[in-house]
Amino acid sequence: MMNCFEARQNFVGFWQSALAGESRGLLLAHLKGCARCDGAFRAFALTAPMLHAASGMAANEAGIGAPPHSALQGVPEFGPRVPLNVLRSAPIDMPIDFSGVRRADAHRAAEILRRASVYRLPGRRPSRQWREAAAGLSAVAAAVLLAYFSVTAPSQSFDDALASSDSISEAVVQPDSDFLGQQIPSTPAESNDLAG
Amino acid sequence: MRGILAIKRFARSVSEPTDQDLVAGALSGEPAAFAELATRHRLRVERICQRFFSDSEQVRDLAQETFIHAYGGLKGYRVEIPFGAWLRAIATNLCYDELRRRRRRPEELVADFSAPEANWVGLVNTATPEELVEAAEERREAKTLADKLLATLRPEDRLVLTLQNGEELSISEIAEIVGWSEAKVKIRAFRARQALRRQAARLVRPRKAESK
Repeated sequence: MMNCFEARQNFVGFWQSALAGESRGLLLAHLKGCARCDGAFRAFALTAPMLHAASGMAANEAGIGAPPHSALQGVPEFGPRVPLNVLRSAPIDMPIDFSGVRRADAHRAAEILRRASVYRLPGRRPSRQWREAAAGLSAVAAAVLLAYFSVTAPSQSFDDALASSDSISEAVVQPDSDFLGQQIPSTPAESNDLAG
Repeated sequence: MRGILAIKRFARSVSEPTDQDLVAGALSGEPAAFAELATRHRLRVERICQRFFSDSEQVRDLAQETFIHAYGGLKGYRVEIPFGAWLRAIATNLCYDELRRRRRRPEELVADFSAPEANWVGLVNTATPEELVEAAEERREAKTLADKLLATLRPEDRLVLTLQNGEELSISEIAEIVGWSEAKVKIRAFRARQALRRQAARLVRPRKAESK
């Protein structure tokens, strides 16, 4: 029988399908019987797709084609850790800030990667400064367009327009009142008196 | 079987140049040497970036930038450090910078899910553990939802959590990498886990045990 601590230790192995038959069975039995661990596993499952994704998924997601698991065998391990602070305080030719990479080097590297089909992107994405400048220009253009349309747009609302057209229809219905600014003489009822 | 693998590994080690040979080649102006280095380490670098970002294009961009940085700073590479470890430090650094650049997602907006993500939450509450593992591999929304939850964390907390869980580094190793004290790393990890637990409590419905 597996206890709660052991069960939770096995979550990652189970998620990555790396748990052996017996341990797997024990874990499943434990989860069935322990509501707290079951809840913990479900909470774990919410972030596990990012935090505990299996190795092959990166290439799948990137659309480069999944490597067979055996293909990873030949890939050298990363070995000992390199402290980031070491890199930060390293000699100036250590590349940490993107601005630290010379433009010519960056282009050459991108070209090598492209030719080797490691990355099929045409080249580097525009730098952050360019992206920010483009965003700023777009905002200015949008503001100018907005200002232009707010000045030249008709001040009447649709309802106002309908209301004013009603007055025209009234004018048509009552031809005797006003037509294009001219007074239409009303035919007096007496004029029908032929006898007169 | 093990013998065959050992022979294969030996044959490969004899025929294939080491990372250090390739670095030397790249420094002497052979583009093919650097291309070979990038081909060898691409998957690992992408896997690191993938632990920080769910967007495949972003992952590719960051991995590409990692190699560009590496190429630009190849002269400063010290051979006593494994090339892969050096690349990992660059990739982690770039991912951390990108996390800091992004705006943190407010916790209260975490329930703002798309329909597929809401379906995934439903499945997390109802499916068996085995079904969940299978479904998570097929569903992209499982990943985007996880990314949304992790995006509510501070970049430092997320960095620590990712290195601890994703890369399976110890507290002391993380402290060494990020240059913080072990106590600070522990606090960050604790806060990150607490925050994620709060999020999970909103989404996972408690159930009663069938039998003990």
